[in-house]
Amino acid sequence: MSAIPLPMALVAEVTHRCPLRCPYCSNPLEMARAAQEVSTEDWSRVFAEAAALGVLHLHLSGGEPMLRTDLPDLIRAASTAGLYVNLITSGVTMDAAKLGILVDAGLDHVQLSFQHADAAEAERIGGMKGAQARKLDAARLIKAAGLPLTCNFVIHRQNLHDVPAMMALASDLGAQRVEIAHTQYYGWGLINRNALLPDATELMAATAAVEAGRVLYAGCMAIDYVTPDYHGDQPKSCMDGWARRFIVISPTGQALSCHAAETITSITFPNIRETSLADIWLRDPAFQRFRGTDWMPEPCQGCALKEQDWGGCRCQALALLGDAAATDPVCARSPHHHALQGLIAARPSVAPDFVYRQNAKPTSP
Amino acid sequence: MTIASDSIPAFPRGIKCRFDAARSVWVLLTPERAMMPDESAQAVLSAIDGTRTVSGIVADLAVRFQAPSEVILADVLELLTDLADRGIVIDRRAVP
Ligand code: SF4
Ligand code: SF4
Repeated sequence: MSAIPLPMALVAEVTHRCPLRCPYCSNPLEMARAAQEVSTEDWSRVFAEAAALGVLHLHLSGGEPMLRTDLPDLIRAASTAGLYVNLITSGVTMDAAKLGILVDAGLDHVQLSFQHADAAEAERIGGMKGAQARKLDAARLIKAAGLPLTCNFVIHRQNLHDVPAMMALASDLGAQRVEIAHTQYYGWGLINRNALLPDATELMAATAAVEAGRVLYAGCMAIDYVTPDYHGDQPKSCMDGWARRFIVISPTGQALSCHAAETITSITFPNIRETSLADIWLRDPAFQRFRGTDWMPEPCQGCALKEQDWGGCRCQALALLGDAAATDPVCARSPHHHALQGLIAARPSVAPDFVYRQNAKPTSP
Repeated sequence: MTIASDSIPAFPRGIKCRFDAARSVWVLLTPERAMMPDESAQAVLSAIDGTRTVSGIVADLAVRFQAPSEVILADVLELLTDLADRGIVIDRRAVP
């Protein structure tokens, strides 16, 4: 095994709580309660450990991180440790006073998420009345505070025809960058897959709109495009490879290789309440499990692209094939690639109703 | 934006530059990227504190690297102008 690379970024999911109910939320179906969340002290220690280990960027995520009343303390701890602090927020609880406190604590950048450019549609998808006006206000406050702003739009079959309006809104709000990201099919997104998955024609139109936007906004706004799961012949380089650049920590302190890693129930992930981040990154078996290329089966093992996409996504291989160690079936070289084409073709022509994210999962009898 | 010898270079909000002990390099952090400048760029970036002028920084570098200050000044201006064009460095003198 070659030397273990130093981690670049830490994603701290500081809470699962959120006023919105997006049907593609990346949070797990079974969400953590406030009482189970990692304390201010433990997060602060982990941020210092992360910086010492080589982490450069901290992404404060959730849920809605602004629901943590100690968010200013968390930001101050991270900033003092030297981390670049990015807040990923829906913006619905932001006001000028709160933002001012976060900026004073050392906040460097805000990524503001939108469900749509159109208010009524945005609120239908996000499941929260009045959300859009609050988001627009938040964007103005962020700009007024002199912070760089990234707007993020998650796209799927019910909104991807409006990509041009999304880019225009981001540009009007003065965003430096807009991220147009296709839905990923884990957790709530997997439950809602038929309501979200685009077909090839819809996908091509959205991609063309992004390309046109790149020309239109060249020099004033950068456009990031996250390509969709399932489509294509080569899988995404998920997380840039298992435990190669990213550490994700859940609200309860589970240290993960990606947001969805806990779906791989055969792996026991460590907890930052019990183990130091250095021990986790350098020695924990969960982090070693799919790191590098040694674990790869054929066709990946003999493939020239294995250090380009790292064999694709382990959670996707598990969700689609029942085997987290298989070649991602998005790959045309996978013997199961055709099954995926069938899955896209079998999508119902009319999108079914959303199953909204809900905080308390109904307990089974 | 042009940077001149009496400019006071600084990092704007949203840009961070610090020494990373784990890698033993100065890193330049933007919202989406971590850049690891080469050694000569590191020497310049690490001297930026939002109060020193370009000529002050150049004078120090000239002593440290025992090179003529005209040569260093030209290199520093080229580097900082490029970074200013990309919004990574601002001129404090221009923003009171
Ligand atoms: S995806 Fe929606 S519901 Fe989930 S955390 Fe983000 S804003 Fe909240
Ligand atoms: S065979 Fe494996 S390494 Fe090669 S392109 Fe497919 S998923 Fe990537």
